[in-house]
Amino acid sequence: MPHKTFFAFVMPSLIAMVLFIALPIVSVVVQSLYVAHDRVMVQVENCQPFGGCSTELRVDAAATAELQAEQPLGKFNGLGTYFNRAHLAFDELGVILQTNRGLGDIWNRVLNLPFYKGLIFTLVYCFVVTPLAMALGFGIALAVNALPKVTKGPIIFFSLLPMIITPLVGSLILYWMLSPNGILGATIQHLFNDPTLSLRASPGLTWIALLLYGVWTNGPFSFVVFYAGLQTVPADTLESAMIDGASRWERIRYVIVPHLMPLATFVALVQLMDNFRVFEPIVGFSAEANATSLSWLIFNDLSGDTQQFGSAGATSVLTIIGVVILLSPVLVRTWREFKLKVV
Amino acid sequence: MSGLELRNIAKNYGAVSVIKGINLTVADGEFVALVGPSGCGKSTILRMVAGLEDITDGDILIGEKVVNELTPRERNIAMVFQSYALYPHMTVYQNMAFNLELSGKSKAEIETRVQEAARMLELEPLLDRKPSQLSGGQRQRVAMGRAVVRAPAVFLFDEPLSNLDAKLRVQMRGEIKALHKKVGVTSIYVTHDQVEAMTLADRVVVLNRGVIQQEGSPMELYRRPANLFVAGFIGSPAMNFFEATIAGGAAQATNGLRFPFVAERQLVDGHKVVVGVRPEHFASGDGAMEGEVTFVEPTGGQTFVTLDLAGHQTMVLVSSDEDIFAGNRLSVSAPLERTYVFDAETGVRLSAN
Repeated sequence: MPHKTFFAFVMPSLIAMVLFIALPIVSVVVQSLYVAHDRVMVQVENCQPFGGCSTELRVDAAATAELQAEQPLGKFNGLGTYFNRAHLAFDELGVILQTNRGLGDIWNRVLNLPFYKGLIFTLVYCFVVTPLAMALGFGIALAVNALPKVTKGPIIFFSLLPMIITPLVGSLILYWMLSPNGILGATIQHLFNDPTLSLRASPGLTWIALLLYGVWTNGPFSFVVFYAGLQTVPADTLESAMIDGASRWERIRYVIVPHLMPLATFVALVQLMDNFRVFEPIVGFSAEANATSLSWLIFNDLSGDTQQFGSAGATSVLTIIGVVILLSPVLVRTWREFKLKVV
Repeated sequence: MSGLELRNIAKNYGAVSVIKGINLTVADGEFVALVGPSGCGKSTILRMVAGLEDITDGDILIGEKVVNELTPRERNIAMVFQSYALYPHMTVYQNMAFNLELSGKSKAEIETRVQEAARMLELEPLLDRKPSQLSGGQRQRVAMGRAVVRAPAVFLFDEPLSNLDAKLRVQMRGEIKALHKKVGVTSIYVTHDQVEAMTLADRVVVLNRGVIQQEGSPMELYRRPANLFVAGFIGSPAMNFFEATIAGGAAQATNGLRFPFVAERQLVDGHKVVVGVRPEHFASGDGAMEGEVTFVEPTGGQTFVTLDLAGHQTMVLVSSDEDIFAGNRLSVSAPLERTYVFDAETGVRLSAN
């Protein structure tokens, strides 16, 4: 294909990618280097008829607004935002590492740093939910595949429900069920014989609830993809394994799983990326006190009265770097394959 | 090693009966080919023997033991599939060793048996390769190696050569025959290709619509087909057929064609029959019948000539030494002892030969 024709085909996509992906990323990177201006303060003398005069500092609203208008991006802060306490917090980490009373103390104090608190939960969520949801999806796919045709339709519909429900609504429903007067919460209290046990009060329970919710809501995607993949497993090879003496489990282990491996890599990547931006369940479960995520930190910076664009930008850039690190094994493999092909 | 017996086996899919009471005995070490057109039930029979398909009725015996309820693993059979059905992520060695590993054989024994089978099938240089790195013929050899390595009681072949090109098919046919000679395992070979069945098997079973039409040695089927179906199916190119009526001890076809034949029993005049003459059995030259050559297909040693015999398009096989062209006139005769006559209604052979 001539280069000109190729570009004619690709150009619309390229323009869209630049407009909707590249430019926003550049904008985020630039914003992350700036912070809001300090307010311009003026010293004013305040004299009372009978109390004498005193001087006090006041915000010069007009001068602040003028400064804001002159430099709308804010004050250039370089990488300061990245290293401050709300983000990478190198100084605080240094102090924690120098003065601590063991691993438990380090853990607790690191969890008090907002970025690390969000990052740790995000990573735990990614690496716990992704494999479990894939295993659940694969299990459902195998079970549904073994069902008689008549029952397949309703069961598939039922299995897809978690994916159909809006994440925020789904997590809210589960949150209510887990609250002390909800059916699950009350049952847990009853089982552990502890009337004070509640989701809000227990970080452990909050994490478990969020992770379980993640598995529940992510399972259907794996199920759909694996179920489609199962339809492509060659029947001859399966029968050949039966004749070779493979049990059902051995057939799954030696024929089905290797056949679905490329698909599993794809599902794992999509799920990892999806789970890395975990957000809705934290809001739905009102879990901010016990668990936050990188996406939630960005949301937190941008909501409320004072929008901290610089801080949100820095967290966004760090999130992008996290995604790149997560995807790097696959990117490296693809690059190697590409190079091999070129050679 | 052991023989195989099918006792009145039947298979129904709902109300549809696809196998209708098959009885077949395969002797220990015998090579039997099941041959028939698509949908005749030959693969279903093979799959029932393998245990991949339930049987509706009857018994399957392997080595005098009823195996109806046994799983494929417990039947001690090996099967070679048309698609080879190799495990794509395993090397040739692992493919061949898979069954032995599952059955808990020691590493040393697995090594010995795989190497032995690889030597037998000349697979030694390929043992570290994956199936995707092999040619079709090599893959089929691996599939056979996988079967051989297990030393099974019965070998089942399900159209194993259908995916190969013509030249390779002939070569692999020879290899399968040599393999059977070496290992001497009872084998059932399913194919729709009658040439394959005849060249390979000790005994050929012709099936149609779930019923055995005839079984016997390849030449027996060729020389004495039991009915019209077998006569038409066995032999390449296929037998020529002419609708006819018995008149004065001979078969009288339309437009004056007359076929004398040796009848097995007395037939009354007016009996509707079908006359069959193989293309290679027509004697060309001074014959009783003459027609115009409409089509000539030289194949090297022989030439297929399509002849218009009084309105019947008839295939005649002649030596390529004879120069025949379309438009020529050719006279042929059908030898008495090579003229087959079948009942038009039942298809049963009425001629003595």
